[in-house]
Amino acid sequence: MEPAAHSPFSLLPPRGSRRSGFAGPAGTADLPSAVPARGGGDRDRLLQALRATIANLERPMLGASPAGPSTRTALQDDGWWLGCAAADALLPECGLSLAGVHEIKPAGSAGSASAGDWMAGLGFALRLAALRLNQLKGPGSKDAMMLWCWPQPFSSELGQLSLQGLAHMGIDPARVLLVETPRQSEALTALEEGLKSGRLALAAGVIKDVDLNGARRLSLAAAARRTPCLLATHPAASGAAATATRWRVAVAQSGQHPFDCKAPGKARFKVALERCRGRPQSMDAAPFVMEWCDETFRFGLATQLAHGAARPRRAAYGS
Amino acid sequence: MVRLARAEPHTVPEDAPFALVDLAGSRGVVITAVNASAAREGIAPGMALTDARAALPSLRVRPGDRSEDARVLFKLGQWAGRYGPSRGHDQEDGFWADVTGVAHLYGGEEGLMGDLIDRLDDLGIPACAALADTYGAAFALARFGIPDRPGWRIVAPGETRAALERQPVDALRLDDDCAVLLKRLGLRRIGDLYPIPRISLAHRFASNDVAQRVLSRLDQALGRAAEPLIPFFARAPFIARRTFPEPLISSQPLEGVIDELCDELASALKDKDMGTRALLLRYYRADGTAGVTGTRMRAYSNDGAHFTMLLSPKLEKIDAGFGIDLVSIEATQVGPLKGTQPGFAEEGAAAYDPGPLIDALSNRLGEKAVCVLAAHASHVPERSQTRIAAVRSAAGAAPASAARGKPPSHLSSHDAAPWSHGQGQGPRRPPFLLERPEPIDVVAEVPDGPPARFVWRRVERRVARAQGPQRIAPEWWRLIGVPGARPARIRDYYKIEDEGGAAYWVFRHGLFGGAQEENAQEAVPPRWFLHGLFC
Repeated sequence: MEPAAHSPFSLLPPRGSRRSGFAGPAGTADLPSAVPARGGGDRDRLLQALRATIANLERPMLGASPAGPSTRTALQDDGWWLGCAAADALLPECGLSLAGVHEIKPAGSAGSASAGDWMAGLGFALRLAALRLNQLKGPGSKDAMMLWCWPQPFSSELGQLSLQGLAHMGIDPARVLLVETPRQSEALTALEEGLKSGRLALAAGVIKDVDLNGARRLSLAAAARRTPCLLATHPAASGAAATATRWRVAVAQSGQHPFDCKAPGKARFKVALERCRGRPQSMDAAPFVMEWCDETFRFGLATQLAHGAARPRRAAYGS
Repeated sequence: MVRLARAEPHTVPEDAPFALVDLAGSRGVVITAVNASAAREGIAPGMALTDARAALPSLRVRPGDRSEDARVLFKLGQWAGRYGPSRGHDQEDGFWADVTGVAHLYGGEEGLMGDLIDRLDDLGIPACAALADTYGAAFALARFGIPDRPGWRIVAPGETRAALERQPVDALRLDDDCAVLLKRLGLRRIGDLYPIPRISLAHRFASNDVAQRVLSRLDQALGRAAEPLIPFFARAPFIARRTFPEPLISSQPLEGVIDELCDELASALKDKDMGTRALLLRYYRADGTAGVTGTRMRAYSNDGAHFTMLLSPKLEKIDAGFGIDLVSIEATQVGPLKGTQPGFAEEGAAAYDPGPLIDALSNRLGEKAVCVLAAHASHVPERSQTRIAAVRSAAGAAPASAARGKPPSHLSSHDAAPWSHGQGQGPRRPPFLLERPEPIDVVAEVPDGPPARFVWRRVERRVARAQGPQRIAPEWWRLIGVPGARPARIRDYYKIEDEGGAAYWVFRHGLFGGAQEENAQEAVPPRWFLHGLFC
């Protein structure tokens, strides 16, 4: 496989230029009266005003404050971050939104996903979950659980979550509530119930295909109690329209092992943010490669070598 | 016998002598039941099969099924709930019921006994029943005081002594040796024991122990000593029930009733500072049948709304049949639940308490579908973890409210959990383990090196990088005492990555050369398996 086509740095414009490329959704154009007059130094204020307008427009959609537990809303933990500046720059102000569904699609080829593709998608989802669990603040949050909905077809295909594997990933296995359902519809119900209960740090599920109705229900449930939902779906399935973000994740060669060039190193993901509510649609969805550090438990941008990753030279020793 | 005749009509002949035997009797093969034809020939339960065969060579026998007998008797006992709230086993072939305060519903004790015997007779069970002041007396009269079955007898209050006078000493529920000894002493009837002074009765027996047993049984039968009875069901101290003037044909109107009952039960529990971890919903239909359903909770609770939430999905599955005329909700597994006041600093700690969610999901999807992982003391990967139903995961732990903010130790991330020892060091383990390792075809550069190519699920994958081996030895101690067990083989685990970047956890099962294992088993070359997937 060739190294990532785009240099990750080239597709992330510096903050200033990204802001200049900002184009508000339809409707913001006819609000000039609310906007201060254009001037060289007012640019930032102009943008701030536009953002506030958009935030107001989107608020009912996000279902800001229904009657949730007062303590949760008072905490003001607005979102969570990937811990990688380049990726976080793509997200809206508050990071990954708590009140939304985040869809993760493995990048399959020809409408199907191999085990490797699924593993990349699920690995990314598990790492987002690990980040969420570790970034959670507030009383009782150290023991807040996450839900992992795992319909039977997947468990027979890809196996069971393993305790030690989770621990190596930075997830306390005791905080994972496994729900194994024979059918997908039941997994959706379980996810929805988990989101509505408001007692979870996060609900994650693997669903082959979710229709608009199901996605909408999940979105509403996530917004109702501000519990984020991670949804891994089949690459061939049409993207659920109601999601806050959609990531496409492809498997990438792992990083450099610090001591052994023949050994696999840090896990890497080729990630593209295809859709992100609160960001312009015209956003560049080119993939970039992220690397998971399993000691600090956070993402970093993979450093690319000029000619791909160093690999063992097999013929060097002769035969 | 009756049960067998009902279940398999052709096995019990009407006209030929037939008997059921117990193969596990202490005195060899013993007859436990006979049909009418065999009884006419003088064969009786308790005879050795050899004796019976000598007397009647044409006797046909078949081993009885005690566990099935017990099951049917239990069902019969459940059915008899109409005659009294508490029923229990009476040896192996009967049941007792406490009818205190029930008889007037049948128009008196005669009406009750007649109803009982008639109904049993309709079921094809020729039963004997006796009603007396004490359990001992009722036992004696039901088994020895009724000449022919079906039949019943009632002893008026205070006449127990007179009624028992004529009964044989066997009716005192003594063991065989004791009864034989009494007969040898010439004490054949219970009445013979009355005139003998208690002290001299004790002197007549070889041991004081036997005398004590006889006297205590006699006292129990005559009501001079208390006798605890063990009922089928322990009576729940917390129960809420509702009867309906008209049977409910559909289970739909039950919802409101369940709501009320749950609140009633919850307030009863709250008054005593108690909580429950399990609820039983019993419903009794107009035709005398009954059903039960229930639910279980992760932590002690006395929240009526929570009870309702758990029980109402069960209502859909209730078959109302001819109509339900009584519903009860019992709290089983009751434990103390102290109301706690959350501290100033930890306010809202309960916001993340997953208990109610776990209850709801387990209730809907089944207990086994909702689970948590727990470490198990083994180094073999597939045995190093177990799945515990989440509802039971807090079993034995302090009630949830007491533990708020401080969860049960095995759920807490602060304690040193077994998995945390290897965290951050040693080879990485895959987050996904296949349910069972799948065999793969491997081509390796050197026999005991990592794979260079392998075929898994019919796709060939080229290995770009590999790390390992990590050797995991079998648990040799599990073979101790297992005759003929072959020692499990050593596994060498590798983490390998294919050219695309997907990483796998594979192992070679066994060693080349057989240096470690002396027997001929090593003639089998090692095999490769894929055990887990990295991501």
